[in-house]
Amino acid sequence: MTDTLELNPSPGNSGTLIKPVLGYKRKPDENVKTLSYDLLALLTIFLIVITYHIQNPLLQFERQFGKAFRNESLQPVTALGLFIAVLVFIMPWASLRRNVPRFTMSALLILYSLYMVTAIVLDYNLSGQVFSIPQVAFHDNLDVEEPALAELRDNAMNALQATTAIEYLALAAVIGLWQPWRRGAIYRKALQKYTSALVVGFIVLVAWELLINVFKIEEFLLPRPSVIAATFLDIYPRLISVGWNTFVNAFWGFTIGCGLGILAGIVSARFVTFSRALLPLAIGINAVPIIALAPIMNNWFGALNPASKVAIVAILVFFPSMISAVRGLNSADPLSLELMKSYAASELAIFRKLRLPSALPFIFSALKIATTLSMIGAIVSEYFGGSTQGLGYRIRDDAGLFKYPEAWSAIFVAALFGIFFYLLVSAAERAFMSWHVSFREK
Amino acid sequence: MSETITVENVTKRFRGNDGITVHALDNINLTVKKGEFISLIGPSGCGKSTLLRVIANLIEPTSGTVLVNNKPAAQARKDREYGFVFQNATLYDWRTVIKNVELPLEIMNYPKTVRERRAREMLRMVELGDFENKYPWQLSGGMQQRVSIARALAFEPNILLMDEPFGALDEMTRERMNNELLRIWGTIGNMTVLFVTHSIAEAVYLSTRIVVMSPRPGRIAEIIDVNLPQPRGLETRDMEEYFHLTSRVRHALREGVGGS
Repeated sequence: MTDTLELNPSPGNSGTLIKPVLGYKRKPDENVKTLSYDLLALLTIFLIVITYHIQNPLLQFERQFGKAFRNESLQPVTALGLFIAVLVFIMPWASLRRNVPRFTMSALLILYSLYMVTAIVLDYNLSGQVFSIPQVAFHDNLDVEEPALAELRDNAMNALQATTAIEYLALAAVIGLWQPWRRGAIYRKALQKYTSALVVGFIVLVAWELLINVFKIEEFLLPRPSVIAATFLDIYPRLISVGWNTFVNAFWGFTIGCGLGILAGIVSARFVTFSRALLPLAIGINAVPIIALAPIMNNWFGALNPASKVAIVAILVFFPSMISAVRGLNSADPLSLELMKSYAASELAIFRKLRLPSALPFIFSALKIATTLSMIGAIVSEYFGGSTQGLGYRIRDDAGLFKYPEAWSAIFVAALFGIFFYLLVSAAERAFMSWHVSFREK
Repeated sequence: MSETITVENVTKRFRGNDGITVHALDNINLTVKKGEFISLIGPSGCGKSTLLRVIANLIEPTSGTVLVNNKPAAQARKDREYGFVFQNATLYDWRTVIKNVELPLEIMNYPKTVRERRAREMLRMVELGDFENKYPWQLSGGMQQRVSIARALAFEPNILLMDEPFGALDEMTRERMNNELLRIWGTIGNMTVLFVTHSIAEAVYLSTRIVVMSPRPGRIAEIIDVNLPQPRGLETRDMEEYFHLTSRVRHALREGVGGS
């Protein structure tokens, strides 16, 4: 038979089936075989630890790590994020029924994340009920050192210990499901792939550190990486909170701008006259450095109003996403279109079943570029004035006051949020386009 | 037997980008009866694919009329009277094999249960029943083309239009696909097939009639009846009549080219 199943089209390897890497029985699933599964496991662990810290007043107000995620709008996102991460992490759900240990660990994770969602999103902490702590103690900054509240502190301590036990169970469940010790082959392959990048990064850091010592470059010109790291560890709770505020602006600008851009792209791809009028204009406007509009947006919406930042980001990402959507929707191959014609398919059916799926690769590469653009827009627009609780404001302010290690730490946090945003969109891309050539087995 | 396809005085001229008019089809007349297996054969540029596309109403003729199942071609396309198989399988990468076969049924608004049942039936017929949840890019070229045949037959059209469907396959796969196609044609019964090819062996082996075309301008040079016994198999290719027909087609092709 020449017609063997070829999952692996490379010569000499044809006909081999994928061997499941994992020990327990589950369908060979694309995600499990890649590093993205490890990233997801780490994210889940990270979110378990964060939610654990921000649901108890003793940790939320007294520990650096707890303070870092105290930001009002960030808290519910961590809890809901944990819930979603857990749901994705325990996939494929159908396999859970047959496997008792996997089922138990997954159930434990879901219960833990539900506990955190009720505690953090719905402001109802079950441990408060059990250990008779008023719910207000969980979110208002009560000074538990006050003698009158000493009893509360004991109760909070008991609640903390009980939650700690559950947290450890949840962490054990993640590791039990993840089984990193069985993934050596994947890590070896990844290490081979990324060694050179890691080595170069390490060399750059060491060279940076050494050259500043050797040439005696003044601290205020360029601080050493070790100084930046120390400063970062000292002030990161504040930076993450302001970084989150800026990220939220970037996120809403991204959502509104890309959403409208893709819609405009769909309309112009459908109506040729519309695209003839609009597309050259869009390409022209796309060449304009739109960030220059930031001071004007500050005047329109008010510098302190986040809308001025959201607007600049939305305008920034609108045109690239519109242009990509038009290109993508027109990228369907002629034979596939003829096939649709032979079925006498309606315009709507052609759009839904052919044009949109063929546009996805174009749209997602535009969205990935837009994540970077929107972080740039959100940060730079704060340079022209804005809330003191923004990352751009912090960078400008610290740099202006010669607090360079602080400014560099803020830039580092900006990079973290930028990478996080990019990974988020990449994950969505992987979910919607698992069929695409870039995600196939190599 | 009744007429399934009638082509009358069909002419097609294309104007190329360089402004030169190409005379793709010149006054074509052809009648196809129900249940026939017709091959259109000719050198490249003879308009065989163009003729197939005109019959399918994928392109409009410059002049002349085409009737399919006694309807104008445009109406026949809207009534989904034929299934079309392209040179490459044109499967959609984002759909699994079974979802690809279901595609025409989705567009024609069949209910989900009917869609799945029909698609499974068709995949079993092309012997790909075990591959329904694979993606097209996980299959070999021959398998992909079988999926595309299953898709073309999913809504039970009684006409199958095929545009060099096995042109991209290697010789061995191609011969197996020829047998598959004959088996399917025999199974369904009273199905009319119009098959564009540039392989003489394929045309003689498969057809009940061969339409030999010649280029510049595209026209019918000769129509050759193939009276080889049915069902055909390995022994068919060893028959004296088979060799005789092969050389007749070859000569017709040569004369067609020489005459222009």
